[in-house]
Amino acid sequence: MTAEVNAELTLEHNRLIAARRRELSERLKKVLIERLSLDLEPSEIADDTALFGAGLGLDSVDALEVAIAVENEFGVSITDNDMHVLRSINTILDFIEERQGQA
Amino acid sequence: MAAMSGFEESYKAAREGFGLCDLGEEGRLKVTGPDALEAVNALFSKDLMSVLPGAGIMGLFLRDNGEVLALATVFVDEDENIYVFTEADTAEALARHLSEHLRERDVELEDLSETHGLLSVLGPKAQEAMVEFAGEDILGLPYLGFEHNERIDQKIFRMGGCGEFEYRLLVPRQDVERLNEEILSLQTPVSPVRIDPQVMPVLELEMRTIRHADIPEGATPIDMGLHWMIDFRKESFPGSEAVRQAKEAPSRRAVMVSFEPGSAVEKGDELFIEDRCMGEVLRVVPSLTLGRPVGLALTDPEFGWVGVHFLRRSTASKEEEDVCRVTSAPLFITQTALQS
Repeated sequence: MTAEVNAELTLEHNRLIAARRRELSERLKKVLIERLSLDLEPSEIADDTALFGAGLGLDSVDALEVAIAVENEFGVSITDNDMHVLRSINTILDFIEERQGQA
Repeated sequence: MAAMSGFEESYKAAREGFGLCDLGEEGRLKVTGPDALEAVNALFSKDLMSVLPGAGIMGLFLRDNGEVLALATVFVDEDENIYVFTEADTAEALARHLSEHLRERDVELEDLSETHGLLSVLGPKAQEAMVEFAGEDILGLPYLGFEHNERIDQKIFRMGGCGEFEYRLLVPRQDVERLNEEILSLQTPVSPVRIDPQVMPVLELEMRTIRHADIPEGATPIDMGLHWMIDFRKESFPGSEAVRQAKEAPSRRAVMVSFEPGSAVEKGDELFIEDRCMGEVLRVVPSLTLGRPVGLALTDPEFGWVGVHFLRRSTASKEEEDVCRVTSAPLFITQTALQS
């Protein structure tokens, strides 16, 4: 096992990863609830829930609102070419983390 | 009748072309009568009273303690007749549950598996195929909508827990074989395939659509990430108090995990960080799209977050271990999603 993989397997490292993800998740959920006027609390949205269709039931108009909310809150642009990331809370967070990592 | 395809051919058809899957084992119930809508609504975790005629909704039937009795998709027709679809594993228990609770209501409960077959036309090319088979009106059928199709004189339900177009035909038994032949004989650009039903749980888990058998005893819908199948504003339904309490302090988190290609991971294997056991693998499937095993695991709520790495240890052979990672779902964008 490489040293890099070893580092990824420590409690300390994973605790930090999990805590950061949890914090991002809470922020994103609160922003979406407010922006889209969802009658939900953050604890009522699972991170892998589909945003559209049978999950949260958002529509294409909401997609634009989601993109604006993400840009305002996280400073990350979701362009027309990136709309595929709007599948779940987790896939949006993956995109945010990736873009913030590049910044 | 055409022979069933092997696993890989079935998977490829479902993800790249289209095919026909006989879901005859799946549960299907019909509730009719003046009290049907209200009575079923009282037992369901979502609000059926707000469902428009010709539409359906996915939700849960729960026990009073919040445990999941069945995952179900419920449709309402224009006469407020209720169609309930559930997995084969929970069909009998659900029928019994509805029978007990609807006993004193003015309803009739019918087990449609005795009189009707259930066929699924599935895949990114399924919509084109259904236009050929059932006419262009099918293009107007929304996800979780259903209609009685005039051209083929059958009920068609649009579903899709595996992320692709899926049309389920509820077919009187005497028509099953004929419709099988007709669909498999369609002259479409992509030839249909007879899909092995065993591929369905794989397709579904890639989209994080879980099955009742994935839920360990004592696990709540909140533990399993099934929040979206619950209407927390609905006043009362069996288990409602339990899930409201559970959501404030979940004791576990079900997450999707990506394993190393070639990993010999099995259900029941444990997940560690250093010497702490953080969870276990509930189910693992071979994702042919990703070229690696992927699975559902139940973990410590502090560590059940995307990006966390675990050391997977085999329960069968203690020396066997490899690294895995919590990953986002749905696991990839399907061909159907790209078309939409």
